[in-house]
Amino acid sequence: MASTPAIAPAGPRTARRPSWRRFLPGILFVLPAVILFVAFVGYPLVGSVYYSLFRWAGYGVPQFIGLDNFVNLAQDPDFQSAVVVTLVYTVTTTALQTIVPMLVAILFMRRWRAGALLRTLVFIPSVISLTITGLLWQLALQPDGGLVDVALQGLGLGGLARPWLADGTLVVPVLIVVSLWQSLGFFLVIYYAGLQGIDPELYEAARVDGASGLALTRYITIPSLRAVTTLVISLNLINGLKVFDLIYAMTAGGPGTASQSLGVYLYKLAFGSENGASAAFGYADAIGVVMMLAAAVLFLVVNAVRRRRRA
Amino acid sequence: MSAVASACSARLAGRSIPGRIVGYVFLIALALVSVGPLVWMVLTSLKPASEVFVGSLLPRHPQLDAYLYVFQNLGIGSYFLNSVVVTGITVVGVIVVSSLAGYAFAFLPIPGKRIVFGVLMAALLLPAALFLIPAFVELRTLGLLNTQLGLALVHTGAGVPFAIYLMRSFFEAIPVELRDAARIDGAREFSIFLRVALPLCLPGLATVAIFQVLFTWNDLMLSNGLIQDRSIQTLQPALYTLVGEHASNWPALTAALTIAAAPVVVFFILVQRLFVAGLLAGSVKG
Repeated sequence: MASTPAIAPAGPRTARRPSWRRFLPGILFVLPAVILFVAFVGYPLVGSVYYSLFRWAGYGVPQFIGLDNFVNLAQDPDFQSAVVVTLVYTVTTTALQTIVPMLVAILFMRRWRAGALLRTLVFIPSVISLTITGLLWQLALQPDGGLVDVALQGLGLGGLARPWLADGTLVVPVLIVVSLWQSLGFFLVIYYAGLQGIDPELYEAARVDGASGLALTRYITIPSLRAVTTLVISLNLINGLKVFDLIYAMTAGGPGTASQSLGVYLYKLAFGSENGASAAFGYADAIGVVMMLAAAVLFLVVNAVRRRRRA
Repeated sequence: MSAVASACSARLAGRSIPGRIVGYVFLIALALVSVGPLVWMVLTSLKPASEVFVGSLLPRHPQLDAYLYVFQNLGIGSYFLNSVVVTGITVVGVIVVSSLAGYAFAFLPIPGKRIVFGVLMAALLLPAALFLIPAFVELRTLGLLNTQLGLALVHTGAGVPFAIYLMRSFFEAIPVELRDAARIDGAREFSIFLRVALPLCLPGLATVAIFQVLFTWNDLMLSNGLIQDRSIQTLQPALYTLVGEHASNWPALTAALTIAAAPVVVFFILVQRLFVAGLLAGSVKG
């Protein structure tokens, strides 16, 4: 995401205007977007930092408690487990959803009969919402009649059937696999487009030098995909950190808190008081602030890596 | 494209037949795993209730009763329309404000331009969970909580940064001479934008619209948090509630999921090419 230097072509007429008149069209053009953004995103973002310093159930007068919410978070076992779930989910999905689509895209570059059809089929799950994905897999993974167990039995692997989503140690890996199922097509398409931008002469030259197919992939294809790979990794990190829809729809964080990510925990604290507990807006926003800081750190790390590579 | 493809296939021309068979088996298995659960969803929606848990994949007596049921008894049609309304307002709003802003960020002098743009881009990284609660409080204060307009406004604000980013890169591809020529002819900035620049960026508008449809139609968190009145709820939260309430009525649930998924699948197969072009237009450049 390179930022371009501001282009300020001062035409013959504009040069003589006083500066505020020169800026007027630009300001008017940007204003509607900026107003909408500030009103419904920017101001609430600042608000979440503000509320994180209060004890507040969403109504009545917020009570200022300084950093107490953060102190309590540090000792909250549910928060700690949400951090672990979010980290495991983010790191694993990022690794899988970067490497697998890249390899599949490289495989698709060979000439296959019906290659375009197969690619489209793999692409389809990626346009389906994570809510539908989560709800569908919740059904498909159920014992008695769920697709997964029926399919395993059909393959003679009925012994592998188990209550996938009721097992606290299996649930996060299962979510990660479902995430890969859903997103593979999306990242595949990005890589596939990136592959088509590679200069064929690179391959010609290397082949003249006697490079093998594997060497071409290793020394030409993968390095040429660097920009695309950076994009895919960044998207995956952001999506992993804020994961909500898929987990909320598939397990609602359960069993217990075994698959409760930071986003799900935040949401449940604020809105999902199933057991009638009062909403904890201030406390939930403290989690939001922690997520914001994590996003900032991620951004700085990714940027630093990019810059070092380019240098 | 064909150049690379031929380079690759030329390089693999000597590849063994067994190698190609393994490749086909792998790719076909991958395609089956990708669409299998969706096919199962459709097949289950066609089954009578008595056939759901017997473990056969194909319905023995296919019927459409479940579809009638979800329209007549579960009101899926009105949730669907609610989603259309919210998505429609959001897409129009995002297109109007972000094409104007994208044009300005590409061409016009603005004080603090890089900083404003940088702040907008930083917001791309932040999860919706972060501004959900204050947005909830704000909409409540404005009397817009539990309204489709309120939800659409928050979606619009959230969609603006990415849309501006895309539109700016589309506008930057326009030759500067073209714009300057119009300017020398005495055209005002807004008519240059509307008559000269915008018609050249229709693919950009289409890309923004496609992404915004995807974001808004598929969203769960904002839609669930900001509208709690069931009668005006959108599709994704409604599906979530339905699965909770009718947990054992699989034909109805899978019929509802199919109705929600089908239009998006058809739409995206049709616009797949545009979708990729748009994504690459901005993103890979850096």
